[in-house]
Amino acid sequence: MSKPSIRPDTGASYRQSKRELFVMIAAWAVTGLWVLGYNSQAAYAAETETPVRMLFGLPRWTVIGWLLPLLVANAFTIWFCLRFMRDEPMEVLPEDE
Amino acid sequence: MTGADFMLASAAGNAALISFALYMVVVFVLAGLANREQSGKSFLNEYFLGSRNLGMWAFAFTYAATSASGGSFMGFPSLIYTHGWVMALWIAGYIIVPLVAIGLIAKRLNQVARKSGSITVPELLRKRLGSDNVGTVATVLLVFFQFFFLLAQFKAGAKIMTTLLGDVGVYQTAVVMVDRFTAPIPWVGAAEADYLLCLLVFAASVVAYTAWGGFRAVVWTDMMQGLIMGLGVVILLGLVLTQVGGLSNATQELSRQVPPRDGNATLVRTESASSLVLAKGTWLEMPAEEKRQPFVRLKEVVEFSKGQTEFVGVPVIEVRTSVENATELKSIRAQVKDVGVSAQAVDVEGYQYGDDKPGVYVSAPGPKSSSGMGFLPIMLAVSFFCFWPFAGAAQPSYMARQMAFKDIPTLRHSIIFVALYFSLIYFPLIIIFTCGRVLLPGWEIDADRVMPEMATFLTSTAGVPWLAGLLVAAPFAAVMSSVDSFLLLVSGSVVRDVYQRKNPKASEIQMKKVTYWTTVGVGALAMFAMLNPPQFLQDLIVFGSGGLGASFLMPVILTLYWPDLTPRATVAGMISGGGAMAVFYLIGYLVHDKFSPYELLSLHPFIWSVLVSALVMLATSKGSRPTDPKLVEKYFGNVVNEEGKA
Repeated sequence: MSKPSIRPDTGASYRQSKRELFVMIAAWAVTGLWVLGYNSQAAYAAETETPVRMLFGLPRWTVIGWLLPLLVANAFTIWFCLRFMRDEPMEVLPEDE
Repeated sequence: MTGADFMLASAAGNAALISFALYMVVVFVLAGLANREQSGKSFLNEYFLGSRNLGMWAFAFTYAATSASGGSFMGFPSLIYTHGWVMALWIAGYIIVPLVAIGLIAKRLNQVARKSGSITVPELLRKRLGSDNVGTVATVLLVFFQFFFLLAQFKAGAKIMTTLLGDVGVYQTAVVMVDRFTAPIPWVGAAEADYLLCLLVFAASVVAYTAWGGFRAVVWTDMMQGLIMGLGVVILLGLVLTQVGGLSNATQELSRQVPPRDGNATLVRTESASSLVLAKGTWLEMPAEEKRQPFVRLKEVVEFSKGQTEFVGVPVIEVRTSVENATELKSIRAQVKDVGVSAQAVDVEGYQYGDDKPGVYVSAPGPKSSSGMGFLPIMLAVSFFCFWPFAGAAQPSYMARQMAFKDIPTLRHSIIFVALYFSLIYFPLIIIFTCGRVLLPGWEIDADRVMPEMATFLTSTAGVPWLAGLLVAAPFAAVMSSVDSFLLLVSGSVVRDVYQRKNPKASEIQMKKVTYWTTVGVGALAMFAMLNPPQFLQDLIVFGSGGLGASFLMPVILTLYWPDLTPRATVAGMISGGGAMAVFYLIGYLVHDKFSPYELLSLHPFIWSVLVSALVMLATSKGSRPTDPKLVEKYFGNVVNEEGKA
């Protein structure tokens, strides 16, 4: 994470925000592929399983298709916020109209 | 009710009342302190944005608490209880919500708001694009859709209070008085007296502290409420897992459950020398079948008069418990009382999807009474995965918070905090209320009340009835923290974007008066509209948040990230997005004969509405008057040269 410049640079700040936007959307898409891709098979097939397949006392599909991606997404979020998202100097607040 | 039951219920009720009263005292103390903070500062900037200096804890908690609304603690539990584990897939978008919903626009939004000196979202759009029309359309759409969201929260708040105070003597006396006073009044008299009283108390208190303390009071109370919610969920989880006999046992029993059947029965009693009142929720045991033990549960109060032996057409549900489900059977039989009444001529109908189908509560698409497709077909799951993060990003109530944090480190740390906080709230909630199906069966008769009923049941069974107050305060806190934010948002739009535009020279005293009375007026209007509310909270919440998302998602994102966006395209995008959402619900109403969305190709209307909005904006931008280049440079820097464009 780089240190903010002394004076705000609107253009540079805008471009950095746009880069961050694309990374966030990519993270959302990857999570969606995992959760929906896996569960479109596992969760919808679980109805016919007798007895129900469990992992840690939960239906197996909820652990692999929900809990695990949640943990991975949280790890990514921590990395993104601490390492990728850049600090920017904040504008001086103008007087209210 | 036996003497022991009565003692237990009274103890729980009094303890809950004391906890609740303490909670309200703290809320008003915080509002008073916040009111003192307003002195010496610009009234509007302080009242609506807390002078833009929210630190990490304040920003993170107020965001999380506002997001975890009555829907999270009332509507969501009700849906988990009704449809089972498929709700994990329904809410799966929350896995990535903190990053996307906050990160997507927060940084740019805060910067543009500071540059423009904006206090509200419509004001920000107006100033960034240099167009009054943009601000006006944004205000109208914001107030319209936000009001639906507000309505749902009012209903949730009142429902929680009815359960919380149900056994308190003073409260019951007050209910009788309210009933006598309001029964002859049209519209008002149609509401249940207990609900009416609680709605009035809830509305009065939340409006009072919001108007008194403004944004800072809302943020401080949100912090407290966020803590209570987190603590409440952790305690509930511990209690439920202990009492259900472990997670494995709960999942196995759940996998053997089948959905209840709904219909009517004839009640017959053997002895008729005196009158008899059977409460709503009374259980009656039916003759056993080979693998299932059927029970009937009353959906309404039944009053046998003296000499009456038969009651025809009583609304009931039939719960058919697996004989292997020891915990569930024990729970129901503990509630079955020998009242000398039996159910005969039971005429019930099963769910269109899931009837007599074990496994339906631990799999997708989940049971549904009104559709043969099940609760969540895969395309609808895809819709919701898009809906939660992106509709969340476009909620003006969250945007107001994103305009108020003090610097970027605050934002970065807050996103991490909210991610962890949501993980500790939503996953446990699913566990708690799927276990709730085993511990407290038959609450399909009033599924919206399952959260407070669970709290009361679990604490009473554990011998700590005083905890019920804290646990029920969790959803109540969730509701309050949302209501206060929405009230502030709506009143902010009216005051800043309507009144101040018409009266630019209004004095600070005049602004204060208008602000207070607008807050009170909006609250009173919401209360009146909710006197006779629809059944499912979640329908209203999804419509409100979906409408806001469809109206603002593409216009706000493009306002912040696309220098070439034109004012006309923004207006067209907002109207087409919000309008498409309303049209899908109108078609849904005509097709289903109830307030529900029409899901074209099984996709939620939000997806279609956002697509319509985006396409309309792109099409309208071509050929319409461009934004003033000075404004583009102000908000995007020298982007034309630096990006190599002509």
